[in-house]
Amino acid sequence: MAMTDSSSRTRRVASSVRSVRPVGPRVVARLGTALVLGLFGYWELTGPSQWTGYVPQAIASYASPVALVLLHGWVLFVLSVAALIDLMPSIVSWIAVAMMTEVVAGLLLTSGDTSILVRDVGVLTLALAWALDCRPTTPGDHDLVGKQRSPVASR
Amino acid sequence: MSSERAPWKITAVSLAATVGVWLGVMGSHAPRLNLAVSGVTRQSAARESRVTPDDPGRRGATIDGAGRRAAATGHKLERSRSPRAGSNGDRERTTTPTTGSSATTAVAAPGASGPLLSDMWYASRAHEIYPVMTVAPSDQILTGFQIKVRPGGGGTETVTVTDLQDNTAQTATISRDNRLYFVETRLGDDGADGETNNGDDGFVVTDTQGRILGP
Repeated sequence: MAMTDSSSRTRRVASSVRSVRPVGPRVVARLGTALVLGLFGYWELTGPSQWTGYVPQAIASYASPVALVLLHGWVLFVLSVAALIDLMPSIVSWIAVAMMTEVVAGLLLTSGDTSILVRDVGVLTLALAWALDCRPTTPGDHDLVGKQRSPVASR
Repeated sequence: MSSERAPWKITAVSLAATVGVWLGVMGSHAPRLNLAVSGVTRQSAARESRVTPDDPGRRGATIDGAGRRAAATGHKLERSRSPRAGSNGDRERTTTPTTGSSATTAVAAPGASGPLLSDMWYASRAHEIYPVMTVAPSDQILTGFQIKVRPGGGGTETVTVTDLQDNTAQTATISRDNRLYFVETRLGDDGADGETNNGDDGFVVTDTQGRILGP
């Protein structure tokens, strides 16, 4: 019986350890992404005409490039604040990934393969690292703990 | 309620959204570099036909950039900092493009002076290129542009600026008494492969007192 209690306790501790991942890298990725999105969002909002060169011609023919840049900047700005305060990270992080993917695709369309593109792919990777680390794993771990407990309790 | 969706976080994001709208409204009224500057005026003809047949991918990158640039040195300033894929650096450095469009314009007549360049928000990022060249031709600031100056008649200089991104050229005439500045507000878009965004570039011509000429 003592052995059963001991092994049960060990399993619970092990499960708890599994469910608690190191926060540091995630925070760094989140704050780094927030910083980049926030600064670019602010710049696009305050000086939209300086960024119109990044609007692909095909899109610019349908809407004002300045308006598009303003909309883009606003989304980046709000997204950065959401990332900064860790609001719904499992959703916000993937929106950030989508935005960075759009930026990279836009660069490819407007400028081709440049060093600027490589730089932004790096930022996309940072956002992706954050998003992948934000997957909700806690519920699964809890389920696992519950399943492990049952056999022990039945003994 | 989960701490990830705490009310204060929702409030903060709502506030950020409001601030963002306000910034956007203010930003939409911010002076556009290409319109606020004087000097080489924009040419619609160049804008419409600036994409070279062999380089359709460049179309979008310079949607707002045609005619915004010009430059000069005492003689001939040329730069080709970073040839793009498929381009020939030597060719860009030494020839005037034949596939791009060309536009000619004259700078506003003397007397049509405007505000002082030193009062403009981009003053600290304006680099004189005529008559005194204050930046090296190989400097990152001039990435993506080729500039030539030839003596013109009647105390004028003929400035030819080539945008190496889409290989378009424009020509302008300025007085020898004028000064020509190149404005580069951000260097982040001036990579090793050239300029990826001309929206933050501009040219300014001033008189001897530093007052901006032209539209």
